[in-house]
Amino acid sequence: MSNDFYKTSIIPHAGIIIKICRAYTDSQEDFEDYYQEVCLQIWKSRNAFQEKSKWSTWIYRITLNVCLTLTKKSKKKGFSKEFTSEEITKNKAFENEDLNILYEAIKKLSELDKGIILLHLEENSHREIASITGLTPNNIAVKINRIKKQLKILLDGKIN
Amino acid sequence: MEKSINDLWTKGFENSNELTTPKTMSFYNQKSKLLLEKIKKTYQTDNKSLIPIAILFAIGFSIAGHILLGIYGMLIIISLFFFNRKLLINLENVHITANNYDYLIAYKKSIHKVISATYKLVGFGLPTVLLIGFWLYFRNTNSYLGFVNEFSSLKLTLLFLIVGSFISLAGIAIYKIANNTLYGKHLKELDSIIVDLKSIK
Repeated sequence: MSNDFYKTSIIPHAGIIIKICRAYTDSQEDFEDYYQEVCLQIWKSRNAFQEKSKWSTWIYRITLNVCLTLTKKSKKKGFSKEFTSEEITKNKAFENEDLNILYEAIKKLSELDKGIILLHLEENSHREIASITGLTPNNIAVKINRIKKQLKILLDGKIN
Repeated sequence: MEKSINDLWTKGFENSNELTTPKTMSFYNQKSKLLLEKIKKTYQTDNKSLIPIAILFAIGFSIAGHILLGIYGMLIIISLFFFNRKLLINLENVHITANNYDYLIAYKKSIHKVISATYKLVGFGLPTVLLIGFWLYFRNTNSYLGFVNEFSSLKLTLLFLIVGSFISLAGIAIYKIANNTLYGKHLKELDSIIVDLKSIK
């Protein structure tokens, strides 16, 4: 991957990649692996990008696909591990404590639900989320409502 | 709470420190590690499969009344096992350097050394081993004795050379196919990572 491509096409959208990868990983090491694999796949699939959608939508799609694939692979290989409370404190991804709590709640959702809520929080429309996930916009609307209710329960009493 | 989740999200990322990108140069570390593990594992499994083959060879020919040939074949196959194991140790001795690109280049060179050594073994060793095997199998038969008496030494030598060359070429072709089937995909992947890493440098 050329540095130019990384600087011009990935760095401006790195926030998207970071936010999604953080939700699928529990340690800095895994996060970096996921981030790197996403960048690599974006670069490899750059020629397949047809300008029917926005470049950022393309990045969302690849990021989500890579995270889902890697999570599936690590579960299959039995690499996923239960972290102790000390490790969780050490592995805190963000300086903002509320954000850490929100992420912990998001991580408890199913793999696909994680992706959907992240895309929603990033202000993607139902139609865009549907095109990224392959579901229908109606289905997305229903799912978002359900996920938010679930998050509400998970966050109850944890955030002032 | 619905608004709170969105607020938490937006406010949480107001601080730009939260979105610091990781360093990019270690891009391929995990990927290359996994690939090299795959190559090593395939090589090990491939080599270990020689042991049961050697045992079956010995048992099969002994039952058929060719004990000497059975033992000969078994010894040859076991020697091949140790030969491959030595080559594998060479692969494991490639020193991991801080630079992933240099490491992969060194590893690729070692793999090619292994392949080249095996080509030589198949090209020169296989005809010799098989011709001795044929001799062990047919040496006491009437057809063999008649055959030897019928041809002059020169003609026999020529015949052995022709048959030997044929075995050598056939062996090389078979090894090439087997090598492509077992390792072709991994080696292509290795090449692709090296090309990618070169472009990052």
